[in-house]
Amino acid sequence: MKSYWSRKSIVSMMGVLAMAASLVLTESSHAAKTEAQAAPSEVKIDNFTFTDSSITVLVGTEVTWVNRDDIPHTVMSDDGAFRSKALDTDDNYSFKFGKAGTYHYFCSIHPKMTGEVVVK
Amino acid sequence: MVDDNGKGYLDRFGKNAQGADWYSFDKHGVHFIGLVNVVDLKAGGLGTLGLEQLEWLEKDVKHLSHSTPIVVFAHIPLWTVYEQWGWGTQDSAQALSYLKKFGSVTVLNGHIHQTMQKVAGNVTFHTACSTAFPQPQPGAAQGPGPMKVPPEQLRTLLGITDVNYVRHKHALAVIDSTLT
Repeated sequence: MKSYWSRKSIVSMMGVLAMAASLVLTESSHAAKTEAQAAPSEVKIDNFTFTDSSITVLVGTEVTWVNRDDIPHTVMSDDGAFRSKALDTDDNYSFKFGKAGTYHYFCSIHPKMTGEVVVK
Repeated sequence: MVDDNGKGYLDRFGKNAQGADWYSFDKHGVHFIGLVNVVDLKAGGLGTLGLEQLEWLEKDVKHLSHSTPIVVFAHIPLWTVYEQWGWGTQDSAQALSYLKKFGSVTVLNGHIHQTMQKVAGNVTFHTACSTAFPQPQPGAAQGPGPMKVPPEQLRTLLGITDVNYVRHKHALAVIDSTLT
């Protein structure tokens, strides 16, 4: 009996399956990308600490630091990439990360306070 | 001071300042030295004096006689009170080495909002209270932030320091008093 599945049809079916699979994969990686973008881009300053002290964001993300401590703090990158004014309680500072890399920063008034932003 | 790298402060108070405005002067035979260790702080670090200031200090005291009483003041303590909270100065050992030869050195510091004393050879260190808010003792709280106390207690934790020089005495008479 002649095989119902001819080679041609098997190949084309595999092609369709492959396309469908890659479409699904693209969908989910797009979803994952969106998820990472929506990940916390806010850093809270309280009790002489940056929380979270290490965050990972995508290129183009704007990170906002909010000071919830009783005293002023600043946000200053180690390499001069960004620098806030003195932030009083409830003041905030934002910086948009346009380039990938790891950005270490600290509070220039209380230099023991450090953090990092990893930009992918 | 923070946002403009001290420009506003120096424009107003330090017209002929050297660097961040460290200076010294003599009064009644006592040599007073004002050091600045609060500018140009680096991530994860303590207070900093910096090379330029240290070089100035070395020259400033080089030709003084060993019997000259020395008083040094700087904001952040010149000894390590509590490293984890940044309560110290990373290059103060160098500064203190220039003062080793003197028979009487009094170091007056602030920053930690509580009184502490330390004696090391001929050097006596004192820190003063704040008149604004107290801070916790080293390690006694999660961080060095302002310590909240019942209102009636507050003025017992704030205070000022009087310093008197009694002729022929080895150390300065340092008296701390609270606001009540």
